[in-house]
Amino acid sequence: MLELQSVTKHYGWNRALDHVSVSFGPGELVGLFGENGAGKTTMLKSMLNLISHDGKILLDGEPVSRRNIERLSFATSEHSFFPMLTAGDHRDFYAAHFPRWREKRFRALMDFFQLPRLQALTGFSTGQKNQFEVILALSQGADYILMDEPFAGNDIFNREDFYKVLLGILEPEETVILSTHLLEEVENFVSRAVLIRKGQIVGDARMSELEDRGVTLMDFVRKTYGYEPDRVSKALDKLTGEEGEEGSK
Amino acid sequence: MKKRKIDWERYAPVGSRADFQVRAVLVTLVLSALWSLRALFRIVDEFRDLRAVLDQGAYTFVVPYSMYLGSAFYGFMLICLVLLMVAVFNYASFRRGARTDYLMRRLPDRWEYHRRCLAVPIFGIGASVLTGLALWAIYRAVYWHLFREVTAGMEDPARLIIEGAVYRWRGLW
Repeated sequence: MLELQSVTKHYGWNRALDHVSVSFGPGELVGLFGENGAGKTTMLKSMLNLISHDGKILLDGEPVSRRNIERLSFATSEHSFFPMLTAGDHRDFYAAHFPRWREKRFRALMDFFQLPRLQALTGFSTGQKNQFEVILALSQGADYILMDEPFAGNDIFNREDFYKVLLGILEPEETVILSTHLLEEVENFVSRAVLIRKGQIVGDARMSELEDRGVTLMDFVRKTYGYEPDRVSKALDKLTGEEGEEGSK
Repeated sequence: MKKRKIDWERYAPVGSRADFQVRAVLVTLVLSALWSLRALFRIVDEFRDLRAVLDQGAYTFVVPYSMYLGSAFYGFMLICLVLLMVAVFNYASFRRGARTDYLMRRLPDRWEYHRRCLAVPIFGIGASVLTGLALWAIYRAVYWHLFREVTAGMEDPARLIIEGAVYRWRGLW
């Protein structure tokens, strides 16, 4: 269980996370949704101790530290690999530092996505870099795999391939926390949706519950965010109305 | 006994090797040591002249030790300065083209990241400071030895050291 207890993070005067309390159990596929600047990335980085924060983050009751950090992996759209090294070099580095490195999974994913092993990553396309970033996170041997917009720049076919592969290869105890804007795409992939807004958890629902209620993920998000479906038409009416009034004056 | 081989790759940012950096540090240390010899040559020359003057029975004075140093030890200071910049450069290299620092900071081995960034700078700065201090002490010993040799038999040899008490103190130590 990965548990956040009243986690708060400030950037100057701006409160990026506001007493966030949430927990993630083994085997969950969690979608973390929110607008830009809602606090998704800050939350993931806090979990990994990459940024300082107030509050507690516990992994099976123990604070996240060097002793258990290998149980968490991270794939980020900023990329955390070594650009000048090859895929093979990364394999060696990860295998040397992460005792539960999954060699078989790494090879299978490299073959599936047909990524070059002997070429430095600087020569990869953006899509290939994203794929490789996720492959490393999946192969590290972590129990909790944190992904922050990992598919930014990948085409739709590529992303769908990845969702299918993920569902196929994940073991029952592996947890994925996926931060993304691609709500409709991951609707059939995630088992739980956590909504964050202005640094606070504003919604948390299992997909099975939503299905039972006959609510789509998009509806759930819209309702939680208080999104008005007709706000665009209202705004346009107002704008065109104002122009009409000005014209008649 | 089997000679233990150093894994140079472990002491530099990933993808580079520390042995090149270490070699560069050693070469600049040797050059700095050679440059510092200027102070020693100056001391030896000065005391040779001093002896000649004193042998003629004329009055003269001795310049305090610190005054002979001039820029003799600037090389070691420069090495320290450059290596501080190398440390900053090493850390920055983990942010070039990607945020590899995220990976380094979540490795189970807490020292891996810092070892790769700081090993060579710490070694180089340490070696530079120690070499500089050792040479300073050796030159100081030579100065002291020559001073005693030249002023042997004098009642108050310290009076030969110019410019009052402060210089006298600095001159002797």
